Amino acid sequence: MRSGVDTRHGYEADTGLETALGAARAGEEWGFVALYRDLQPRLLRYATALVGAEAEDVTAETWLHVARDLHRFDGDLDGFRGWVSTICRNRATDAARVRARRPHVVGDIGDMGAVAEPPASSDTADDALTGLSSRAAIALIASLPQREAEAVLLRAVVGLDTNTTGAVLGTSAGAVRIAAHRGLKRLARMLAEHDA
Amino acid sequence: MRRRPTRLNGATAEALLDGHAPNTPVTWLLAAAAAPGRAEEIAGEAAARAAFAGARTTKEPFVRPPQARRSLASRLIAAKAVALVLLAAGATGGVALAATAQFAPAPGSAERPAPASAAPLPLPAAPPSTSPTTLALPPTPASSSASSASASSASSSMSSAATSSAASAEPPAGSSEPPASSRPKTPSSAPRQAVQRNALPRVSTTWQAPSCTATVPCGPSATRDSAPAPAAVPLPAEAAAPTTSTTTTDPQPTEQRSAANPTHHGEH
Repeated sequence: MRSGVDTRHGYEADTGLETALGAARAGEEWGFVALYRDLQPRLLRYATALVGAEAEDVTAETWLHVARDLHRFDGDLDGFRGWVSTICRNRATDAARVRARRPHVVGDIGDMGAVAEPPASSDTADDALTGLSSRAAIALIASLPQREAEAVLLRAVVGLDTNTTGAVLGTSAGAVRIAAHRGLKRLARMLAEHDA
Repeated sequence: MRRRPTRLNGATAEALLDGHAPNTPVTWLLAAAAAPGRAEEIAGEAAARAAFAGARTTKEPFVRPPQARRSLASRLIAAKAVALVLLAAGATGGVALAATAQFAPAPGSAERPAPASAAPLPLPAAPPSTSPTTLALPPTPASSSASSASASSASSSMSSAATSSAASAEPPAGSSEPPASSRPKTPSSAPRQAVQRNALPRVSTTWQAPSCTATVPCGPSATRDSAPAPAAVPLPAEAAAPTTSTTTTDPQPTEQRSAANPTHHGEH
C-alpha cells in the first residue's frame, strides 16, 4: 500500500489513522469519525461503481457493520481498509442480488456528469481529466469490465495494496495485478480514442 | 486539449496505481477518481457516529458474561456440593437402614437403640466371672455345649451382617478411644482380634443371663450403660458374631463387608 493514504490529495498520514484505529477499537468516537472521514468517500465511489445510486445505502449498512464489530477487529490500518472494503462489497452484492440488478455499468459517460458535480464543459471525459468531477472519473472507470474496474478502484481509489485487493476480490495478487493493468490500458485507450 | 498516447507497461501501471506515475491522462483520471471527499459524501457521518455510540453501549452486556459465567459456575459448584451432601447422607442412611433391616427386631423385642459397633464387647481386662459377655441367645439351650453350638451356628450365619454393620459404624481414624465398657469393636484391628480370639472360649462357655442386653454387657462394668439399651432377640447373634467371626475366619466377613456395602449404596 502506498505510504500515507494519498499524499497527493492531502489525506491524513497513515500514522495518525493508525492511532485513530486504535482509539476507535477502544471505543473512542473521535477515532471512529477519523476513520469514517478518511474512508467513506472512497468507499462510496467504489460502491457507486458497483450498485450506482444505491451506494449510499450500501455504505451506510457497511458502517453499521463496522461500528458493531470494530471492537472485535484485530489488525492494522491496511487490514481495516480491506475489512471495510470486503463488507462493502458483500453488501453491494447483496443489494444487487436482492434487487435483481446487475452491478452498475455506466454506458454513457455523460449520464454520470448529470449526477456528479456540474461539469465545466459538456465533455465528461475532459471534466474527469481536469479534476473537476470525481464522479465522472468514477463513471469512466465503472465502464470497464467489472473485475478490471474493481481492481482499479480498490487499488487506486480505496488505496489497497495488491494482496489486500486480492483478499477482497477473492483472487490472487497476480490476478489483481493483471486485471488492474488491463483496466488501465483500456482506460488509456478510451481516453486516447476520446481525444482523437 | 491535446494528449499524448499512453503506453502502459507493468511498471508504469503499478506506478499509476500507487500514485507515482508521470503526468499522463490516466494519471489525471485516477487523480480525479481519488479526489478528496466532498461534504455530501460524508453526509452519513451522524448516523454512523450514532451507530458507533449505540454499539458501544450495547457492548456492555458482552462484558458481563464472565460474571454470569462465574455465577453459573458458583451455582454449579453449589449444586455439586448439595448433591455430594445428599449422596453422603443417602449412603450413610442406606447403610444404617440395611443394618437395621438385617437386624430387624423379632416380635416382642425392643427396638435396637444403637448400631452394632456400639455393642460393647468383652474386654480382655474384664474377668469372665465378673463381666461375662451378655449374649441373649435363644432361650432354648438344651445344654451348654448344644447351646454353644447353636450359638456358634447362629452367630456364623449372622457374622457377616454383624461385621458389615460394625464396619458401617466404624469410627473414624484418630477418634478418641471410647471407655472400656463401651469400646466398639474394630474388625480391622489385629491385636484386638487376637485378644478376642483368646476371649472366645470364655464367651462360648460362659452362659449369659437372658436378662442381659446385647448392647450392654452384664457385669459391674456394664451396668452403668445397661439402662437405656433394651434387650433384642437378634442382637445375641449380632453380639456373638464378632466373637465367632474372629475365631473362625477373618476374610469372610471382609468379603461380605465389601460385597455388602455396594448393595447399600446401590439401594440408595
